[in-house]
Amino acid sequence: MQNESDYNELAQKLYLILKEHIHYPQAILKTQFKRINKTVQDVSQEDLQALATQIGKSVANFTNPNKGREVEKAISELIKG
Amino acid sequence: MLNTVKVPKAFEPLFEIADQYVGKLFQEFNRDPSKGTIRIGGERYVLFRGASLFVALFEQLEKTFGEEQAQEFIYNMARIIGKSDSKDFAVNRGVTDPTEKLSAGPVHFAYSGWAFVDIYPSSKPSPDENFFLHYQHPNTFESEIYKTKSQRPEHPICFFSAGYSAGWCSEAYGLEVHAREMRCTACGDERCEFIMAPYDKLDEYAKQFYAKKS
Repeated sequence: MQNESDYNELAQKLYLILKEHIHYPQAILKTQFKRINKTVQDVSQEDLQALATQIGKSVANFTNPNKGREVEKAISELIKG
Repeated sequence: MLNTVKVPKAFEPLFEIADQYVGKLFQEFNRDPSKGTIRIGGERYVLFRGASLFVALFEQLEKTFGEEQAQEFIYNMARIIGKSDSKDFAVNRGVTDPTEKLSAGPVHFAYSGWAFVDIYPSSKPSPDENFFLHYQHPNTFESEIYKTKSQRPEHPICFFSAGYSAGWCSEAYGLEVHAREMRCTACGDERCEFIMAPYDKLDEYAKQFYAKKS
């Protein structure tokens, strides 16, 4: 498992968002990035845009719909910068 | 006579059909230990000892991830299973009407040993944001097992039952609904009583529930 300090800036910010809402943020990051052949070191804003809904759904599926929506919203804000 | 589920009079005909369908499936119960298989109506099933499935799993999840995460994990896992069962039952029965899809759920719930379902007349299942279900189980497997422990929980604990039913109904009605247990026999209540609705409406219904009961 990579250390968070190895993440690029965007992945680090996403990690912090997920960490607030779910107890296994690293597993979600790794899995979702793998779906689009990306890693925590080379993920871009465009990639996050493509993944935002799916990440929100993944969080909702194992927490609750509110947390899913909050994550998706926070990712949208992160993309907007 | 319908004896695997209790529903409001208007729903009885649909549930009787479902009762016959599921009952027939469970008559085709084939256990073949020489092959390590159990098949019901041709489908592969597995049996778990209730105490291991619920208490042991819950305790380990709680120790590892915390109480809230353990509850969420079990609830959501059961919800995914309920959705999948609901989808396959609807396809196999060739039914498309949401209430017809719902009808096999409580019957299957009873035949599988989760609990008996009693849906109250105050329920208004509809394929929109007004969906509301109010029901009780006199005997969930979770609460029965929990009651053998010396400790009484501070809050309802039937997360499997709540999740499975919410998943089944979400799939049947094509919308995301969630269940909340309001009373639980493990806490000393007379029955395990639940409400089910779209997530954003649960708090409101819960308030109404407690206002009526107080």
